[in-house]
Amino acid sequence: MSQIVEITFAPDGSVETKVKGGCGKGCKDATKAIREALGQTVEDKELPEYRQVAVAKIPLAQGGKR
Amino acid sequence: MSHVAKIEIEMKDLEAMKLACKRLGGTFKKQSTYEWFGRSVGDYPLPDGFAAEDLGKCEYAMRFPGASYEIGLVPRRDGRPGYTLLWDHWQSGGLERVLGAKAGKLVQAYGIEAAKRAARRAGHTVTESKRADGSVVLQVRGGR
Repeated sequence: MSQIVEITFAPDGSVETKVKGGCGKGCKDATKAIREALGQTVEDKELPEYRQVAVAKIPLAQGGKR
Repeated sequence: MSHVAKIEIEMKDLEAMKLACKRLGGTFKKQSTYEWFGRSVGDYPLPDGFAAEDLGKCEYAMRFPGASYEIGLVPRRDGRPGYTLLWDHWQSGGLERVLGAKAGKLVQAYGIEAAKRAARRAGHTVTESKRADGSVVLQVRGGR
């Protein structure tokens, strides 16, 4: 598993897991094991890659032509 | 694609709860009662399936520095697995001041310890870091 599973625990007791990029079998197994150990998944969504978002914003930030 | 999920914690791992208690400088004991006001005045909601007469009774109790009251740990009664916390929110008992609203810091500490134990059981490496806002981040990688 080369990918990193990141789990954020807020001081109010809320928890969020995040997997950046593609997730292979080892990564999926780790995510599943941790989620099951922690409790019940109440929200689960896919987000676009951060890199793609950054590239899309560059022309506007530089004042490029529309 | 990145994948993000929100988890509602279920306290199923007693060993992780002991470690969470230790992390916050507290003590964890098997005992049938926990310290509280002693009489319900109905000033806070009880977990599903519990009534005022259940207050003060527990399977395990936790005590934390700076709080005179204790937190009781009891099996859930809402059909979900694991334990729930019974405790008196009254200000003079000190628990809310020490652990935050809804004992958030204890739930946080439990989650950290439960996730670390699960990741290590599966052979993964865990690193922990703390953010300025009090959040704790675990990064899990590698393993078999």
